[in-house]
Amino acid sequence: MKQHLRSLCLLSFALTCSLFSCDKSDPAATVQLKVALQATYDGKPLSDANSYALGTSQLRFSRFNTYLSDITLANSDVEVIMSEIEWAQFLPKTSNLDSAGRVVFTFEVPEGKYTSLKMGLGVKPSLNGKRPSDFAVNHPLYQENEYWTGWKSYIFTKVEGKATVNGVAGNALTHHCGSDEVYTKVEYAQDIEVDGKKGILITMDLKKLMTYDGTPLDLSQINNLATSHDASNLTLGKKIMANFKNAITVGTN
Amino acid sequence: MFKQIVASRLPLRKDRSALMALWALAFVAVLFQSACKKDPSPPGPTEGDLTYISYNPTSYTIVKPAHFLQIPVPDSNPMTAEGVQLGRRLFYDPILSGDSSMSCSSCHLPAGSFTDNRGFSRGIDGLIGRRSSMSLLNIAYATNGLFWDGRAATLEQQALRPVEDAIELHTTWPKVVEKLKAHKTYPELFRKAFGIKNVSEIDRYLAAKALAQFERILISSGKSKFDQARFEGKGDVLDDEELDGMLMFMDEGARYGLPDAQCFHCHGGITMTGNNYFNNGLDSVLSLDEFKDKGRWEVTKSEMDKGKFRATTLRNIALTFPYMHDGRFETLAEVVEHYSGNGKGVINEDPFIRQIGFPVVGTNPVRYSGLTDYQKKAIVKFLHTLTDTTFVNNPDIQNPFK
Repeated sequence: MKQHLRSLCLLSFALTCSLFSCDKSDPAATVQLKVALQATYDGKPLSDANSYALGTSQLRFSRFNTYLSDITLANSDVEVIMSEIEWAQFLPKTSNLDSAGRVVFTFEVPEGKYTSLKMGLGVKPSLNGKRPSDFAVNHPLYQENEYWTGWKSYIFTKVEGKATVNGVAGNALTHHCGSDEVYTKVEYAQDIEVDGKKGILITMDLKKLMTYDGTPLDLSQINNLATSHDASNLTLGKKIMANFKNAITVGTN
Repeated sequence: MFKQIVASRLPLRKDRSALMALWALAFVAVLFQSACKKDPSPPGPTEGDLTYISYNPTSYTIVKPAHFLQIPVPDSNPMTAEGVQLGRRLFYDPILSGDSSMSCSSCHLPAGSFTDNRGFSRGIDGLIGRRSSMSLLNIAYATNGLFWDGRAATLEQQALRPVEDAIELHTTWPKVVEKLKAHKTYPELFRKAFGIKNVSEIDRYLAAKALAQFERILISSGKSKFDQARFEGKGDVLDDEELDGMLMFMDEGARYGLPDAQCFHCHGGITMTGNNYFNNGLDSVLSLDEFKDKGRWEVTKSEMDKGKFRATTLRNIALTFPYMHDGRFETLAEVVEHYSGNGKGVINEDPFIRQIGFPVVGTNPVRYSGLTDYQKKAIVKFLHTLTDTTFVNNPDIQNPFK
């Protein structure tokens, strides 16, 4: 009888332990995290009504949009992919922009401390191999405007506008970048505490995008005004997408 | 005995009168009672009741070519065969106009790919509108605003407008709704489409929903020469000129020494319109305020939207003449000639307008060559390959009253 009682006590102890251990391995609670994307020029919100200086040239922008893949929060233990693909358009203005001119996405993310934000600039190859007709209405990749058959690729980013070069206005600026070759993965070290209070602000600065090692893109060169529509000529597209990392700042807000 | 009898009859007669009075009273009471009972029982149809008509809507799948994208349909207006049937009837019925002389189809005729082939559309009073009617082909895909300026967000919202526009159908929705309610056929059709229980439930919003359902079925057949060549691998369907035109249109001709015509930037995708808004270089103005028609600005009030209009679909473009929001070009040759001129240099012109052809080295601003006569002709020929006669002849979208 004593032995049975001891066994029973041991069993209940083991059960209690296992119950506690179950509690410990439960995933962290999730909270909503707002990730805002903002386009700027030289630190100021981008507007189609303003003219901006780039070296000796003046620029006016009419379109700026971009795709981001695998937007991920990471720390030494875990990587949390918040979204596989998103598309943000800053110009022309759409109803997707908030009053501050930002595109805001809301993700459900485990609470915790993260040390970096990772993402792909453009459409990752596994998705880029598909076509708009493969996607449901309202999916970011449903948009045919953002696909070019010449590359068999989505157009990862579009920057369009006009440039005044050497004092002469009226030069068209059309930078379209796409294809798997220009897809770029980036990582930004940034302490991000996800606690349901603060969000993330990703700023994309077009002046930085058009400045290479401190030197503005020379717009007096025809080949710098427009990305080639020869699908095999990715020279400017590669240059722009490689520099995109430097145009992005990640912070909290 | 007799006396007795008589004597007995007298009181009897008195009794009889009383009895008769009693009977009469009872009869009147019964009459009253039965009159009172008539209202609640037996149950009969109330005024405007439609519940005696069965409501079994049939889900409707829009027919589309395999290479077309999924068609957006709002959850708030699911497609049904009955809804499409009602919408089709309303679309062609002049009951929607003030004097019963015009319908939606007056400005959107199948033969013109649902345009009226006029530079400016006309309303019931003979008044001339300020813009041409837009093609409704593949309009289900237009999720970035309807009309030339995008002032209606959805087909359901768009369908409400022409009825009350003084230079279109020029009436009011209350008047139209009264006509629909009093009509011998429409109440039943509304019941079958939307399950309303009473005629009184017919309203403008249900009418607009039905119209939108019909408009959503106006989808290309996918049998144009372009579709066959591009999506069915029948390359030999296009001759050399048409093929060159397509390569320039799609900016895919560089390896063959062909210039960029830059068309697809605004007229891209399967529907050949991105449904975006552009200043496509039509007018030379010193200030954006000088645009006679300010287009998209009327909706957004954004300065840089002055003079911008929604890019139309180029499918069936050969059937939708004249061209532009004001019908200023009669022919496709004139249109291509315009684009080959690289715009007017207005501040908010789309930049691609200025990059048609090859860049001319040493020019500042960088000038583009435009297109040669052969290239222009090739593009026009290509545009004709977008003609889809199967669509315009589709019996399911024709006038049901004929």
